[in-house]
Amino acid sequence: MVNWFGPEKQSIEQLREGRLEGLQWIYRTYSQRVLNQCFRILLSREQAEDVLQDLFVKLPSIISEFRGESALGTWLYRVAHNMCLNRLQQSRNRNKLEWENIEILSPRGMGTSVELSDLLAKALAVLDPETRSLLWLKEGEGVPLKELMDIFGLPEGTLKSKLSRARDRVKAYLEKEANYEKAKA
Amino acid sequence: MKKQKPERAPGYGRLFQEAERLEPTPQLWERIAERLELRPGRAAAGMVSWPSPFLRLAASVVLAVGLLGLGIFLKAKPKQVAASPAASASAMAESAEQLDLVDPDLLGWHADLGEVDMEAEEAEEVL
Repeated sequence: MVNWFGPEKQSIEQLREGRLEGLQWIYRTYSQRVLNQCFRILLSREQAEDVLQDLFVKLPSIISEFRGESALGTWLYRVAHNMCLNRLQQSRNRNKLEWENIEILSPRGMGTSVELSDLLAKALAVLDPETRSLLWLKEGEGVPLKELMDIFGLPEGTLKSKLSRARDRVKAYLEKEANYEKAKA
Repeated sequence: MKKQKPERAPGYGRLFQEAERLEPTPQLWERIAERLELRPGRAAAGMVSWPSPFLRLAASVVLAVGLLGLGIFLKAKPKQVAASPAASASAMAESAEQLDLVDPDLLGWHADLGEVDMEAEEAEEVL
C-alpha cells in the first residue's frame, strides 16, 4: 500500500500535476530495481534501458491507472514485466534474440565476480522470461510472496510451485556446470 | 526434532546475493526528460495540468463564500422592495418642498396666460 503521507504520495501527486520533481523522485527510487528486472528478463542491458526509458516516458500518462492498492514499486514491477514480455513477443525470433544476448550479458561491474555474473546469466537463461522475472524478483530483490501475487496476478500456490520448479532447474544447471568444471580440472 | 531444510546447490545463494546490479546510465534520465519536454515547473507535453490541492481548496472557499453572499443578497432583496414605497414618498415630499421655492409671480404669469387664451377663444366664438 502507498504511504499516503510520505514522499511517495507527494511524488505521485506531483507527477499527476505534470511536475518534473515527482517523476525524478520515482526515477531515483525505482529505476535501478526496474532496470535489473528488465535486464534479467531481456538478457540485454541495451534493451533493458530502452524499456526503462519507455516506461518513464509513459509514466505521466499511465499514472492515472495506479490506484494505490499496492506499493508503487510493485505496480512498476508489473508494468515493466508486461512491457518486457511485449517486447519479446514483438521480436520475430525470440530464441535467437535471447541466445545472442548471452554473450553480452555481463557488463563487468566493479567488484563483482565476473564468473558468478556469467553463471547467473546463463542459469537464468535456461528459464522462460516470465519465470526469470519471478525468480529474480524473489531471490535477487527479495520481493515478498504477497507482492509477487500482485505483480504476476497468480495465487500463492501457483507461485510457490513455479518458484520451486525454477529453483530446481537453476540448481540442476549449477550442478551440471560444477561437474563440468571438476571434469575439466 | 526440527526439520532441516534441503540443501541448495552449491553457490545458489551467492549467485543471487552477489549478482551484479546494473546502474542506469547518467544520460538515461536526460533522454527521458528530453522526450517528455520536461523543464522544472512545466507540465509534461500532452498532459493536463491540474492546479495544486491548495489552489483547489482556495478556489472552493472562494466559490462557497460567493454562493453564501449570493444567498444572503437574495434573501435580503424582498425587504428592499418593501422599503421602496417609503423611499418614493419621501422623494415626493422633497419635490413638494421644492415647489415652495418657486417664485409666486411666475406662477401668476402662467395663470394670466391661461386667461388670455380663454379671452381669445371667446372672441373667436363671437366672430
